Amino acid sequence: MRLTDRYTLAWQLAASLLVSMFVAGVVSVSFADELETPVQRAPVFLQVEANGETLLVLNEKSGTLMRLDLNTGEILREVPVGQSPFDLALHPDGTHCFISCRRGQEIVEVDVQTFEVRRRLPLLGDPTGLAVSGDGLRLYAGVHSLDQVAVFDLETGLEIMRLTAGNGPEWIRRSPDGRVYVTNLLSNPVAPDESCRNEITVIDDASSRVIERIILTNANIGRQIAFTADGSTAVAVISRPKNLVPMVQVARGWVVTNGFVILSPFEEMPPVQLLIDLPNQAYADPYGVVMMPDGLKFYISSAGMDMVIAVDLERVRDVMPKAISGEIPRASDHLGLSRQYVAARIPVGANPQAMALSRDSSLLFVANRLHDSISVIDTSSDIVIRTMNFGTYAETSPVAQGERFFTNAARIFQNQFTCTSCHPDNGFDGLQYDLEPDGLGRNILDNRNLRGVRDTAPFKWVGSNPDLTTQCGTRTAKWIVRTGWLRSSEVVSLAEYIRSIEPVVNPNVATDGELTSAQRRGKAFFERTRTNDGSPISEENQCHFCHSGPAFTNYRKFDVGTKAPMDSKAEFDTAHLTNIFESAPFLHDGRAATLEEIWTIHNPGDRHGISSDWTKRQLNDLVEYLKSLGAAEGSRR
Amino acid sequence: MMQATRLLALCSTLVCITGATAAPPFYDTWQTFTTSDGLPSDKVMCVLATDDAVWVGTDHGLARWYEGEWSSYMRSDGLAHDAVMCLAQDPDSGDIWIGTLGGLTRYSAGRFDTFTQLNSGLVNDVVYGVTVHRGEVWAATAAGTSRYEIAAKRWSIYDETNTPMHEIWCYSVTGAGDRIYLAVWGGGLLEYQIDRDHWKDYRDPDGEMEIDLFRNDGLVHDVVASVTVDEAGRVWVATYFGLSSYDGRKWRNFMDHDSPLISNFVNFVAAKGTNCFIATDNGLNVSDRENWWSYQRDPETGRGIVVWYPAGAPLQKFETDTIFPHNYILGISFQGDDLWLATERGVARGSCTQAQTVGVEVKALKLDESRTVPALEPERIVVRTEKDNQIEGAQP
Repeated sequence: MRLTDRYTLAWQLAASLLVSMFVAGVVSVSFADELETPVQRAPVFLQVEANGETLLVLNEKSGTLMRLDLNTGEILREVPVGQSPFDLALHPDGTHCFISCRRGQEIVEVDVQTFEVRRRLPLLGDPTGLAVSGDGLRLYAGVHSLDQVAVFDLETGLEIMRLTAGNGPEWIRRSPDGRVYVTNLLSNPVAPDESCRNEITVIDDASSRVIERIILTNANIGRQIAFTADGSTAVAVISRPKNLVPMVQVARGWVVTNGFVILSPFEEMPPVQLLIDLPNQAYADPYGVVMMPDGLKFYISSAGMDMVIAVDLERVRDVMPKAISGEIPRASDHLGLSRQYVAARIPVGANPQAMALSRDSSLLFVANRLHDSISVIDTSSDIVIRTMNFGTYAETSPVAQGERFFTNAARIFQNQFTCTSCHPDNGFDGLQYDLEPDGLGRNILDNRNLRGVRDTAPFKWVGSNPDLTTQCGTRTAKWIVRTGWLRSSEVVSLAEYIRSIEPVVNPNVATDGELTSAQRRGKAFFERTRTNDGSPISEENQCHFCHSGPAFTNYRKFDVGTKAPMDSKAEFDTAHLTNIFESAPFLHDGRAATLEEIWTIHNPGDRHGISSDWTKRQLNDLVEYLKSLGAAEGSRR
Repeated sequence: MMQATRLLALCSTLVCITGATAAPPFYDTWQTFTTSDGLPSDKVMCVLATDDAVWVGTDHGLARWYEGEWSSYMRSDGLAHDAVMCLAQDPDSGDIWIGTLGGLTRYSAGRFDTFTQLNSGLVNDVVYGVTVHRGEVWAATAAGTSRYEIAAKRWSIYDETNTPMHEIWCYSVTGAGDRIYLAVWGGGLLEYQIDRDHWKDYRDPDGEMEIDLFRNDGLVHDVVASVTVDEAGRVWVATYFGLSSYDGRKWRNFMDHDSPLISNFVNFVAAKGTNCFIATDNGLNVSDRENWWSYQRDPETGRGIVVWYPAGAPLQKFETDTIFPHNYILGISFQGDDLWLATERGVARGSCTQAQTVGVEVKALKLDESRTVPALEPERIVVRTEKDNQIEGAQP
């Protein structure tokens, strides 16, 4: 169905108006005719086709694959492919491609010419990045929820191997030298008092085995990666959170810094992390990266600042030896260095993420995820020469407006970060923060998952905020953003957006929602009222007393014996258990690396439920049950 | 020169005989690695040879031999415990799984991830045996066996409550086809049919007697230390009172008084082709049930004493200039044509430099099942000294 049949002129005008409001110098190439309900597409992936005339676009919210005419901006074809498409990998023969669908829990193989779906490969666990092996026989797919990479035999369509990745594999790209790089969203697990350690996992394409794990100290939130044509240099975008110092440091530009890491696989050279920020101006949430074929320049999209940053790679190479030798001290945190190598900062549309170069590299196409448009940048002048607006999206609904606030750094002091910076993919960053100005090291708190957070009030670990508007309003303004922040109505919109965030599909639940035998035993144990010797367990010490109701919380605070010497309070909010499988570490300060440790190490005096009489089998069953809390897609229990 | 002549004679003998059974190669050259070469300890508990590396588990750390150099890893590097009891490679991912006295560790491209009874579903931290089969890790522990489904990150426990496990001290585990075999110390052999989710136990019909009342009536003893499956599908079972093999229909047992088995105290078995390599407290045997090799170190001379027992033919005895460093052998692994042994005094690599002995076809002189194996005692070389038997940390 041609979308030109679905749009109204009014929407076209509204969209065009919004485009002009957001992007200077825009030439709107809209085609909408009729539309009763606005359709938000949210483009997240772009690839110029071999003919150089058309562009493949994946739309996250509409779940569609579409082909755009690069000359006219017209949508030539659009088909639904699955829920929340994320990445597309073209097969080397050029006839078909593979698309990962995160909520759909599948990889969809699509004929590139006809857009017909050839087959669907189920993949539980939030499939993300994709790459096809050089010989075209295997497909690598990130399994975000399980920290793994699945390897498929493309002839049979069967998964043949599961590799251990870092924490939350995100993008997978094959280097020209034949290695496959996997970026990981989060740091590998670290102790609460340690800095984060993001990993880039390297797979040998010939053997499909992991051969290297590149550790990026103090880095978190790894996103896209790109390579020079010879594979000698790789650039990956990262963020560097300063979670171990109080959040009041935001005034010093010291909460999250944003940048990239340079890898030189052919040389004995350590990874070099550098920033794109300026001393008083951050470029939050770096996301996409594209390398010019001549290896002289690369582009990074700043999703939180609606910008594309052009970086001169030659100048970066000038800085690198000084950074490695220490001639430039603390180069990875140096906010003044970017002036030496950032060639341009280019305003684009809202929430830019993926980018792609034209065949001749003269144009850079930027997917403006929350603008339903594509900015076109002239790579010789580094200015936007036009914008292809192919949707009707506008921040009309509170949820849409709230998402814009959530993902935009405009209201943050020096634009240092967004909600997404610490809650990437609407979740959490796996770190613990010293949030408040109560002294260094006091009241360290684990960052909480926002996926499925609705209806789990009160908020904060100490449960002092009765609702999301309180949590996201004054408190945020006072302690986190330290600037004007949002008006009351805007805070409501932000809260509405957060309430709308769905939990990820739980891979530990059978598709029919039935519990496994271990999960059934664990459920019975969760609901037990007597200890193993038959003694009654007081009501408040039964698991399902505190963890009750639809989200498995009774919304009250309890002292479960976890007060640390530097904690001001002993009572903490009863955590909801929806999709707790994905939210390690656990307890208020993240001291429990796994669910097991909550009871095997951190339950002094049986105050977090009576656990001293448990057998190992009972603990295992309980954990299996807890991991299953959070329904499978389409099922209800 | 004398040795070379003898080897040539052996080769000529073997080449002249024709038949269907492939003889195991004659490992005539040995190289030993100890702490002086870079091992963290000489007490080697296990060895795992992969395509490009050799992993050695000692009582005081893990070592890796890669590109001609040894590297050591300790608890401070991420290992669950310094005492490494067993090693296995995931045949798909290439990851190394390391069983220790303090938990199970996965080594993957430089990263150690540790699973313990406190931070994971692992049933017990004392891990004696580990294998990776069909995308699942099986860990034999002192309190049952754990199964870890790698893709699903799901743990299961197998113990006396859900298997016919008469003891929960699991010592070794191996996978073959749709079966998992568990060596249970004091509990015999357990077979798990994966596809049917069904367990079956094999016990010694003589109970706990340390003699075999009726020959070949079943497992020779319930104190089982190791199990392996050869290319022909025969299950080889190491006990501390002899060796058993089971072809799915009949058992055949071997003890030191009725076969060339060097010692009834069998620590470890590993199959290659149709041969079983048998690590004992007194040297190494290799057998396909009909033909046998024995390898021992002469503690007086430090030379190797090798005996070839062709089925139905006179045995032949040889000496080698080099041999493994100690007769107490705890582990075996294969790397191409080479053989790696974990011993009490270091790790050894055995090579077959006489190329013509590799894969020599020898005549299959099958013994009559009812016939007693020829008495070999007069010709056997028994090398056992008090010194050799003083083994620190030997398992019961």
